Amino acid sequence: MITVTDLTKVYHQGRREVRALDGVSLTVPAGSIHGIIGHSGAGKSTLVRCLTLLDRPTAGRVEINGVDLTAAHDAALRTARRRIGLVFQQANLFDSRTIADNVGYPLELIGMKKAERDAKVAELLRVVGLPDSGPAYPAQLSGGMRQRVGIARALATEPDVLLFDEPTSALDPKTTDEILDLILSLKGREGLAVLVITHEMHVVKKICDSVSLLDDGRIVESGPLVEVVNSLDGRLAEALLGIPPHAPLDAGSGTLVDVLSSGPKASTPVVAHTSREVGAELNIIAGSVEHLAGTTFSHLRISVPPGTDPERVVESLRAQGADAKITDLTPNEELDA
Amino acid sequence: MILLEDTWFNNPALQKALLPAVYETLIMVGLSSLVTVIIGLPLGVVLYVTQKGGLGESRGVNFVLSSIVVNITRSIPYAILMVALIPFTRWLVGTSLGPLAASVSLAIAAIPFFARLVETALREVSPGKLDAAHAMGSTRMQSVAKVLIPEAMPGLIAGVTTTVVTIIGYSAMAGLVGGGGLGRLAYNYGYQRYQSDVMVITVIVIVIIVQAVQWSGDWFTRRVDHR
Repeated sequence: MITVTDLTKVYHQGRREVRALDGVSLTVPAGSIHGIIGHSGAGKSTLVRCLTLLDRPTAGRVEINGVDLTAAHDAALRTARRRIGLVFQQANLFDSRTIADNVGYPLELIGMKKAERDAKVAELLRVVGLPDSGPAYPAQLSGGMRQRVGIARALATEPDVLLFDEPTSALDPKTTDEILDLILSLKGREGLAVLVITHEMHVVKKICDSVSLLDDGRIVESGPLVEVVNSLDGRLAEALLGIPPHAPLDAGSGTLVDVLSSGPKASTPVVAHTSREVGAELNIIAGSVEHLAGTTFSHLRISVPPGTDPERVVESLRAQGADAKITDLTPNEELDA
Repeated sequence: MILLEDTWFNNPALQKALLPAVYETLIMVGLSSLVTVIIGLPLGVVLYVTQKGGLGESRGVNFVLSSIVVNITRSIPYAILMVALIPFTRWLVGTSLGPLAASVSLAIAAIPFFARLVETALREVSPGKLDAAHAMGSTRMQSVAKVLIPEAMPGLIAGVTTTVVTIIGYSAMAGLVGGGGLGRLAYNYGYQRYQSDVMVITVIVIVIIVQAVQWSGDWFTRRVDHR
């Protein structure tokens, strides 16, 4: 379990102060995967560096199973760091070492005997699906395989927290899915909390139990995936279950209404039912349906023709257990996350 | 042909002095290269780690080593440096003559040159790898010895090769002021006595030595380069 309290990082650029992190707090319990999503410049990289103490935060605490990393120095800090396994976007393997020696590096640091290390490395390479790659060099492996090695290396010291920094951003879609499946398979490992920092919604949708939105150094929204998605106003909901950005924004002379339904209701014809009830032809002009964390969510945008009261449509939809609201399409409607 | 044979193959300067001269040159180059690597490698590492944002940032140390020691030594032309160092050489090895004495000024000229090449080679190592080493709990010494230097090895070996080739060139000059070797042979016989055959053969031998160094350097670089 990792607990971050009020983490703040202030950089000085000449005389200017840059608050890269501004009071970030979050908790990831063991056995769960938490996603932190944000666009470039939101403070993701700074967060990774502060969580691993590669940079010292200006204020705040990073605790792993109750041990405060920010209070540790030198040898104690080096020991504490081994409680966090860090996986980089570009794997950052050592080109001069074979795959086995890369995975064995953290074990070498703790002085593990060669025979014991070899056995452990072989087991880790099996876990990440590369049992035969031990004698190869990183340059001989594909990007996805290198990332697997990075994961094996991060797992070597049996950390309590696995921290992924944009783990799939350099990979193609197919390889991304394979790596995400691997991360999901690690979820069951004893006592392991997983934190994934990414800008890809796809990653959050596929593997995360809970998610936080990082914007301008602050966590502006946070919660279990099923909760944050189940809202017509949230920025995370918009990002995870948004109307496609190229959907027609012009409803003609009609009024736009957004409908959100989840669970079993997502597969019932709520719009058709409302259409009959108000006696008007409601036109679905855009929508997205997603299966997230075991639940189906449907977010539809419908056009209510002139002459029909949109408020009545909203009421009828809500009566069926869906969430609905009249959409005011002002600019900035789309989330940039 | 007879004329050629007479002058080119029966020249006592070549028959008697060439092999000892080659030997002296190899001693000079070998000894000074060894000392250069032994002192220049740590110096280059210190230059790298003390730089701004380095593993052990230290403005004072970096300023003294980089701007004063390395830059000033490198600014002095070798012809002047080797003469200026004669008293120091005499104090250090007891004489200013012979290959051993010449190695002193050769090493002192080559150390800062090599240290810069080391610094450049270390900079080629991606900072992400050092981050990784740190995040896994390496000490600074471990980061340098287990990650930084092995990762920079192809560049370091290429740097050694360049340095040795440069030392071979300088060793000819060192030969003139008492170092001996092929430089002195070429100067004494080839230049001062107009024996062109000595000059040509000496040059050919030096070219062969340089090629041999470059080829073996390239071979070693390829051997350690897994990128």
